[in-house]
Amino acid sequence: MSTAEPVLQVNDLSVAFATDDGLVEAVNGVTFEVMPGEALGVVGESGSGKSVTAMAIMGLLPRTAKISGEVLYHGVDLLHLSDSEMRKKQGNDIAMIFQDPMTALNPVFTVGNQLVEGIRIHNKGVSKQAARARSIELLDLVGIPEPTIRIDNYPHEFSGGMRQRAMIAMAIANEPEVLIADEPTTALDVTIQAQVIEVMEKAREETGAAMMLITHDLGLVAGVADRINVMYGGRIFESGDTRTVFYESVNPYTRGLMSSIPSFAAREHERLDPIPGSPPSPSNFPSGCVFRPRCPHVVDRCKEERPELHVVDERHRTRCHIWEQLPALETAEATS
Amino acid sequence: MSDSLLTPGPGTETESAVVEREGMNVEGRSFAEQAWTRFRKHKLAIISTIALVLIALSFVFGPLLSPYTVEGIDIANRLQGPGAEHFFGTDALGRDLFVRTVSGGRFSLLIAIIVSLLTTVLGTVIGALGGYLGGWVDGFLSQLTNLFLIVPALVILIVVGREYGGSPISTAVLLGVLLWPGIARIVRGLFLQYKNQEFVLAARAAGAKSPRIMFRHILPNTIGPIVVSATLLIGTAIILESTLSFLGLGVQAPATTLGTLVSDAKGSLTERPYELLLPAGFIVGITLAINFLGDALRDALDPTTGRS
Repeated sequence: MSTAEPVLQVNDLSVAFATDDGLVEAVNGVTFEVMPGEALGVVGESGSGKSVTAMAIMGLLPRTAKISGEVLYHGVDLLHLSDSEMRKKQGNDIAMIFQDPMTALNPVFTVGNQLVEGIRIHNKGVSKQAARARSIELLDLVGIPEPTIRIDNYPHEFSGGMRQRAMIAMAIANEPEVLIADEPTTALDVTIQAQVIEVMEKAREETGAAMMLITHDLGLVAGVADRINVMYGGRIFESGDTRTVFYESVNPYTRGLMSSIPSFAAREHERLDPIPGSPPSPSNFPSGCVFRPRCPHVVDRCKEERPELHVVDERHRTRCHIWEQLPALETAEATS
Repeated sequence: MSDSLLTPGPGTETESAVVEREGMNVEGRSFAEQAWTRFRKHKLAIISTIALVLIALSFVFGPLLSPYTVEGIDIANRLQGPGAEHFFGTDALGRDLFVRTVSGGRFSLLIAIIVSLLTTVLGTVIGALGGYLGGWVDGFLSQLTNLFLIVPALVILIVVGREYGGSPISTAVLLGVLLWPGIARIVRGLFLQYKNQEFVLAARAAGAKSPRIMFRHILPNTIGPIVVSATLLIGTAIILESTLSFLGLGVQAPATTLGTLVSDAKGSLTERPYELLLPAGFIVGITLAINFLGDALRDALDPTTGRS
């Protein structure tokens, strides 16, 4: 897998917004790549910059956003494409699944109408009948019962889970190479979440698309993602293979996240261990490490110097000054 | 791992099963059907609609059914009261007032419809551009809208009407140019509200162009309030046109509208009140019916007012 060229390469991406409180840096120097067919999980709290990163890749940020760096799709920088060139990529090469299926479908058109439009925007030669036949196929693929009837339903006649399935059908309609799913299950019932994830996995198998799965649900990425980027304060704090990040994390933020997940394996009466405090406001980052105010292992250096992304091994990176001491530190704390 | 996709294991109820169990309507009803259900609840609006249709029909076909013409002078039968021969009586020149009223109504209605269409198109385009594009375009268009809103309409109509008024078309254009800011404001607000909805973002993410997003994705969502405003504007336009014609600045003789008829009759209110009250009654009746209709449409075309 590592011999192939990445489909998507994000280099030193920064995004800032001019607000009344001055320049707000939502994303700061984010670098990562997505290989063909792989699933990359992007994990972080609200305001960690994960959605803004996705919007920057999709070209959906408002013009007022100040964007720097590179977003390379097969070597072509998407940030410097003209609007019309970018539109050819949007929904065709890179597609997006949105968080809230209740509002992401246009209420005044039938589901079929919206599917057909999505197909015909990028394939002018396809007839309405052919696009409709393909839409029925897609709805069937994502598990909508009776797709020949359901295609003529309006979004409000679909349940939340069915709408998200329809959104997935729309996203894969043009067989994109990269699928960006921004919190695709957050707005759904827990019982429906698993079904929708299964549909996404199936859709990915069908199209061979790589996926960038943005979520704050660690359980979800554990099941789906091959690799994980943990984001905090607009920066990548740790990245690596899913197993590595879950079991061999060398980052205090990631470790904090892990110990705040409820689990069945936990002993009775054991309390969850949340990370104290709340994420910093991007308009007012602390000096030094942005995680410092909430970190249990602060040393003097953390106040003065922003940590770099250190190489742990070939596929594992962490942003922490004292990552080498971390495992030992935590073992010491646990025994004391 | 996704083999079980279409056949969920035992114990997991599929969504379609839930739909069937709860007896939800799988066939679904179109928006138009739902709108009709809501519209039907307004009895007054039903009556108004029937009345409007009858009035419009009499305006269109009335002159054809009468032996008299608008300009037919018959001095021998001048100043007759309403009766079997002349339904609405005759004026000082012996012209049949029924024919004059219905054909005047025809012009009034025609002018009002032109004003409404012109205003709606102009206001919708300006409001949509400002609301969707934002930035300096919105700034400019908003200031323009405010400018037209703050100038006293009647003063402008009197000044410009003296110069360019006179024909039904010029009166309609004049009114249209003055009335668009109201609709532009409504449409701008709606576009501001809708452009940040996720479905607009989704359309952009699917590679749709701005004009397509504005007019194909957002506009259909705003059609309810626009239709309501357009309907109410017909009423407003009839009143404004009558006012203008009454003042002698709108439609000029020999063309006749309800407003000019009221104006002609203003000297004879005590002797022959019907000369004034009949055309004035049409103005009031049409305006009232249109307002009832507009209220019912507001309810019917708002998709958020329940799905019963």
